[in-house]
Amino acid sequence: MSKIRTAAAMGAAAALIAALAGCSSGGSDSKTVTIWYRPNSLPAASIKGVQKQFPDVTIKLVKTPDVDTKLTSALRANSGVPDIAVANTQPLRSAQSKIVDVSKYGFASVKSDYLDWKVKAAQGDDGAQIGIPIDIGPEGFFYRVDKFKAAGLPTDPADVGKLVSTFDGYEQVAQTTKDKLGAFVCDSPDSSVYVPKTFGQGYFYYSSDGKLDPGSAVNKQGFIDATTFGQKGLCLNAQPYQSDWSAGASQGKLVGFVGPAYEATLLSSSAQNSSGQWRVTTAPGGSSSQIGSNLSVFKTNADPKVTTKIAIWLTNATNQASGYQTDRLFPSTPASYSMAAMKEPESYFGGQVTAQVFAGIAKDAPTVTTGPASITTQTVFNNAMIDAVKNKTNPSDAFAKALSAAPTAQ
Amino acid sequence: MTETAAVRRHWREYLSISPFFVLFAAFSIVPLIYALYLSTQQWDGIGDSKFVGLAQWQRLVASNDFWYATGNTFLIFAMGQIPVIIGALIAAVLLSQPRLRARGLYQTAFFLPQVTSLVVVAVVFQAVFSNRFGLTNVLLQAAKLPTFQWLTDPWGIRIVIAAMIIWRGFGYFLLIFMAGISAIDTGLYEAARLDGAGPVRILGSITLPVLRPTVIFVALTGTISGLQLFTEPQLLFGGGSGPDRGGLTMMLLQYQYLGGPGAATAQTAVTPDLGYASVIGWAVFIILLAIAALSFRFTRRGLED
Repeated sequence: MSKIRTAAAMGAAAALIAALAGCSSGGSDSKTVTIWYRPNSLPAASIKGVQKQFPDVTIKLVKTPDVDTKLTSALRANSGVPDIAVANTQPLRSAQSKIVDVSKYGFASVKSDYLDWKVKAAQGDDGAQIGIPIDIGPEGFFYRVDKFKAAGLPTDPADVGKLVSTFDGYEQVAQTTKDKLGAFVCDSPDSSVYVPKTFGQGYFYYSSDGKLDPGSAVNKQGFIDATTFGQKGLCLNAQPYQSDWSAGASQGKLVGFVGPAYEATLLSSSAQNSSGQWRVTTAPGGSSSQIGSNLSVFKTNADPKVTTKIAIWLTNATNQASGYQTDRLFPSTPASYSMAAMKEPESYFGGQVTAQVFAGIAKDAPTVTTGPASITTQTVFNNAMIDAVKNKTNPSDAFAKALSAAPTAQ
Repeated sequence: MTETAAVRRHWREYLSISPFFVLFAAFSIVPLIYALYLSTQQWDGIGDSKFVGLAQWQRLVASNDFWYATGNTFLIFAMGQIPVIIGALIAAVLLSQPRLRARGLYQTAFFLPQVTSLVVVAVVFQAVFSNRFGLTNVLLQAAKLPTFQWLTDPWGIRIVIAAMIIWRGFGYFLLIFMAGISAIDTGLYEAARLDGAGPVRILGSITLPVLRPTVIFVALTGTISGLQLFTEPQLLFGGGSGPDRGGLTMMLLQYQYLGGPGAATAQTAVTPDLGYASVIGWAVFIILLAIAALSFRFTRRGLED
């Protein structure tokens, strides 16, 4: 009897220990390299080829949908941090001591392969290179040829691009489609007007000397203009990735919008019925680009040279070029733009070679100064804008209120 | 025999009850102590933390965001949790009529939402109430009625969240009330009917008084879970609070300060601060404790009469 009891107690204890042990996680040695990436955030060619390219190390690729949250948790607990991760670089700046400055381990010699502004946007304090560029989000104007024709507007990308090159021109087009078709060429004032207005000036809530500056004139003007635009009823008032946006696109209510290159995936999956009718051209207010992701290398591995080398290979021009068609990752490496993979016509866009349109925008886009509080500040102003459009608040008052709620000093 | 010897002699017994205590320590006591420590810190979660003493408490009292969230939580609670409990009680009385057929069918149908994944529920509610192309607005339009901006108007948001609470919680409370009613001695009803009491009199004089412990249990657990409202608004707005912060609750605010959603399409408008988040947690704890203490006094008096 007692033996059975002992055995049962031992069993229970073992189960308990096993359950608790699940809470911790092992470290890694220099021969194993763990890479975390969001689905579709690395080109398929990089994922497929990386092990073959580096036969001496074991590469563990972990598809992690909410990589930013997981990474923060791992850094917080100081355990289970991957060797390489695709992440938003700027929020990681306060953990800079745990991130490898890749410029010391071989990135300096390949730096010129990447767009200069993108390289700068992946730097931390004292110019440390804490991210290796992967994709960017050049902003284009997406529109539907059949609807533009019905509204008596030009349909050729070059003509449309010229027509919407200024915000006044864009507003006229928006008024025309609204009057004649009851349809919109603006999804929401924050993404179609505010983003090109501010990013086009290289502004992402930081002044060019790296100081958090939400009260700047660029921001105020952009905010007021975009809010006014929205209050005129010229936008669908639906945010990308929301069901209203997708429904609007598929039901022909959203016939144009300003968005980054990667929103083509969202568009083609939302509005399959208008395949062949969409085109892309240059956005209002000149060239601008969303910053996109970077690869960060962490000081978990005994040999940062090897991990840096792997990260560089994952983002080289050939791999990035292949990522455009399959994953809509727009390359940050200009050499990719002249490669065959980026010269293929696309049937969804009526045979247009969209990559070349975005390539021109990407090359002209200004350097965007960014910092740890950029994304949070953007959310504050975007929310304020959505509320102001809905409640018809005076745009200047809405701006002043948002400014008081915005993060200070970082 | 000394105490250590007693422990040693009964080690099997101690070992066999240890799992609860070990897990309780690992997942409740240690985090609680850590949260106490965290409430004196300012920490973005990944960099270095800084000791700030009681400054986070000052921030809680002075800043309007926590009080806004608290007020909003109570508002949504009043719109969702209170109607669902009263509704479930009425429905339980009706469904407990002895002559009712297919009782199991009703019970299953009402309980089904409770076992449906909340994520699925949120996605469906999002589609049903979406502003331009949602089912509700399409139907309103077809009936020539004015449409309503369910997911951008702060009151619309509260109504949608309250509707989710009602739709999902109804079956659970119904089941508990029906279990309580089925335990009532049918002899009481027969005697009442012989004495000429009508259905309303029976409800007021027999069902409700006998059901009192069940009602108190439901009210207490319902209040505690209702004030910890989090999942519904979190899913509905991808971690944000919705326009005009109409969906902001105490727990959602804490979540936002803990570092927020992480999905690229939804960002919070606050800078993560784990110290402030744990102070919010303590404040929620104090509020719930006060409510539980109040209702405990109320309960004791209720059971003593």
